[in-house]
Amino acid sequence: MTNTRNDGRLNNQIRAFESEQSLLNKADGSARFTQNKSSVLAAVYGPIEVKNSRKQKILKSLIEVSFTPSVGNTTYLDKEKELLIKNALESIILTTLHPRTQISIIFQVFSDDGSIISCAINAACLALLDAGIEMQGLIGSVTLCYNHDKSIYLDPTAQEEKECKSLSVIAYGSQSSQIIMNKTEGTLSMDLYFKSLPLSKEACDKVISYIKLAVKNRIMGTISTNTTSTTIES
Amino acid sequence: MNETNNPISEINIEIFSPQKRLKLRHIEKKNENEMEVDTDQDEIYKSRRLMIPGQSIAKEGEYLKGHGTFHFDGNLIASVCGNIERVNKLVSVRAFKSRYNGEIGDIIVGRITEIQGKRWKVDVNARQDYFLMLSAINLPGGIQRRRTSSDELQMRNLFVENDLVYAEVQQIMGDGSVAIHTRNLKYGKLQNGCFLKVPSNLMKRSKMHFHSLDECGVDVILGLNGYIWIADTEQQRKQQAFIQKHERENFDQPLVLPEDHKEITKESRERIARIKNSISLLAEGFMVIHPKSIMQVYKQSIKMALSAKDLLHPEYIRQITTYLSTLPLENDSNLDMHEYPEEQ
Amino acid sequence: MQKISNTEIYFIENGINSNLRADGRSRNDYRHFSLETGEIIHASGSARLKISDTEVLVGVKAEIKEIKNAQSNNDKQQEDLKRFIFTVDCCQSASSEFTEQKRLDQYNIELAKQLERLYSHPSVVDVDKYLTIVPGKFYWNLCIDAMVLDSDGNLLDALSIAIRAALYNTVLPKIKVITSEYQEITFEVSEDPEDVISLKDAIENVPIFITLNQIGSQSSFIIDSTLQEELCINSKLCIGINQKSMICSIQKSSGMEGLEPQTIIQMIKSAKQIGVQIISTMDKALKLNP
Repeated sequence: MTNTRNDGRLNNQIRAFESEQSLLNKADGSARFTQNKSSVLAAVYGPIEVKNSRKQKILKSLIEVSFTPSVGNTTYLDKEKELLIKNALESIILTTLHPRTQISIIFQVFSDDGSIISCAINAACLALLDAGIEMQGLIGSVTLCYNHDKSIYLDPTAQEEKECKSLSVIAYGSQSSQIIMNKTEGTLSMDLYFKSLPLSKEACDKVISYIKLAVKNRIMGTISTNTTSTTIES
Repeated sequence: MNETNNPISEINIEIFSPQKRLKLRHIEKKNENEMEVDTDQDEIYKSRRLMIPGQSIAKEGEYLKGHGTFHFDGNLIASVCGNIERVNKLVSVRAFKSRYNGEIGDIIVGRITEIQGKRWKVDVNARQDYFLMLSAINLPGGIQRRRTSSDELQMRNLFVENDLVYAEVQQIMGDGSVAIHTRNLKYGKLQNGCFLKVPSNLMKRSKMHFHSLDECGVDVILGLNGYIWIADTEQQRKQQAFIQKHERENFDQPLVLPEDHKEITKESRERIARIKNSISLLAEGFMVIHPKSIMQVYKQSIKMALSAKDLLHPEYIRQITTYLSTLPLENDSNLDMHEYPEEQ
Repeated sequence: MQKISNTEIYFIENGINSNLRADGRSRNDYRHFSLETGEIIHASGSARLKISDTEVLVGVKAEIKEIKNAQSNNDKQQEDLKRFIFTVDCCQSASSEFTEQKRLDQYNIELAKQLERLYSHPSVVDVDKYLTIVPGKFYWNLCIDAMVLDSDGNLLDALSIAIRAALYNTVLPKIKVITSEYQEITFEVSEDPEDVISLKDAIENVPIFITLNQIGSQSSFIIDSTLQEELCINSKLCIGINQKSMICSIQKSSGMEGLEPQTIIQMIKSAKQIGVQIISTMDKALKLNP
């Protein structure tokens, strides 16, 4: 574990988290999740009346996701992000409880320094908790990048994402050890992929326990004060 | 009645530093055992009954599952983040913040969004818009007859888009849609007052939702869905008398309220503004809204010699909120006071 | 509260006519607001403003702009004057009504253009003293990005006040210009965080917007409207005022009715007095919390 990354982290060290909840007045639930320089605000409206009645689903609630990047207009890449996040959240929200309604989740990226989809999913989890929407459990997400020298970096920055050979965004639920969402980009050997799964599971567990702590602290009013960064033992 | 703008004396605004948001920086120590963190949380969960989605409450057969729970893998699991409530064998988890859920008999204030065939669609801050059927309202003149197609064509004379209605939940259909009715003389269209929206979790079920606050001469309607209507008692009484007279005598002609019946004196406006700001203060402090608490804030603001607009100042809001939290809790069995800790 | 019924409009109009608004304020009362600067660390300057529910976040980024030899007069003028570049982004999360992207884009552009016009006069910031690196060739360009997190009325005013505060907070690194023998210019940007030029004194003439909404009768208008009141307006006048009580921009927009010239004169008078007071209160507050 001697090679350190650009910002001094170890291979399997994720950046420190910061979060805020209930920022917006009009939204039913809102939360902001920050990992060093990556920061995403998630706002949840719902369950509400479906705006476009053609899209109304009779047995479930319609999940609509909207992703706005920090700079520029929304492009096809953002549309892809929307789809990934929507698939992830549809699996954990109990949509059958609210048929013929719509749950809108709107993301606004404040700053993007890598792992932005993971950041967004984590922010969405906090926002959904804030809005009181029924879920099966919590969801935690993390990004991994696989480098040319076969090393695996957890929670890459934007620079590391550009230089890596392949990238994987993965989300686990708190209920069971099942993968809720996984998307890989680039070429990857099967060995490396399966080797990285337990690593990512542990990281997602850390995220989920952080989310639990964040919610507990907000309701109970206490603040935690530990001071070093999180390392996952591989 | 039209005054020219007063010369501007002094703009009294204060620019202050915002309250620091409760930022949570969680960074675990290296090698800290995750199990340790979990058991610590478990204890607190048990003592304060806080549930997180995915957390197991009990084994499947032990309790009946209520709202906010579901069965999975032989266990009863919480699906929302909130307090656990247990009534005999029924376990439910109540979320801190959620959209309004209508029950039969609930008194609500709603806003008409759409006019459809033989019914109006009403927005009540719930998961879906509620329906007000044409057959569920009182026709002008109080006649009891079958609604004809000409009634349907004249629906616009009764309620138009964006009107506020005071109604009661009548029925919840099989597919989840909800019907409301105004079949009572006190229900109907709300006119000449002020509207306010607060989180629906702060409204509690009680015997009366229409409160005539005698000390201030202000009528307040606290809809269970979080929509609140504030109006001047005197003016509403005059208005109501006029409308009833109109219904008795010439209901087939359109109702036009004369100007003097719409007048509200400046003093009443000040009182209405004060009540409005008091309710906003309670909503911001996440405290239950009912006539007693509103009057407490009202009286306190008069004691502190504040004008109505001073209740918008964050310093005074803080002072009054602290004062309220020192008062003893109500013992009224109808009012279940859940005082949640202040956010931020 | 995006919709309002006729009787509510009547109530609000009558209240304004008798100089007592729905929340107890008089026509000329501004709400108290909170202002915080320096929140965004990697921007050259930033500010966050919160007036009741309206929340605006502004970041200023400075970049060096090279003016190549102008092709024609028009181009040169444009290049020279554009020291400030504005972008406004209303978060979709601010309201579930904002989901129509096209309408939102138009609204964003409209706000950005209004702000650009406000800053269009060269006397707004002393360019020669603060923003010039090499006269005629290199200048500092300030890219001002405003993000609207939530809106409860009075958005344009909030934006202009936040931008002024963000500029107050802006620091530009000192630059040493080295001219090589071949007329090549290179820059040595000072790495020292203390060695900076602050724009604290530069914003003396920076104006702010005062929006006056005419509601009800012709002669009654209000400042600092809430969202509910904005649904009742007949017409709106946005006036840019600076510390010396000079008018920097006027725009009349929205509403089906026109404004009588007498009303406009009254509005301008009010706006001047209010604007100057707000700027002085703001400057005092900024000096106390740098």
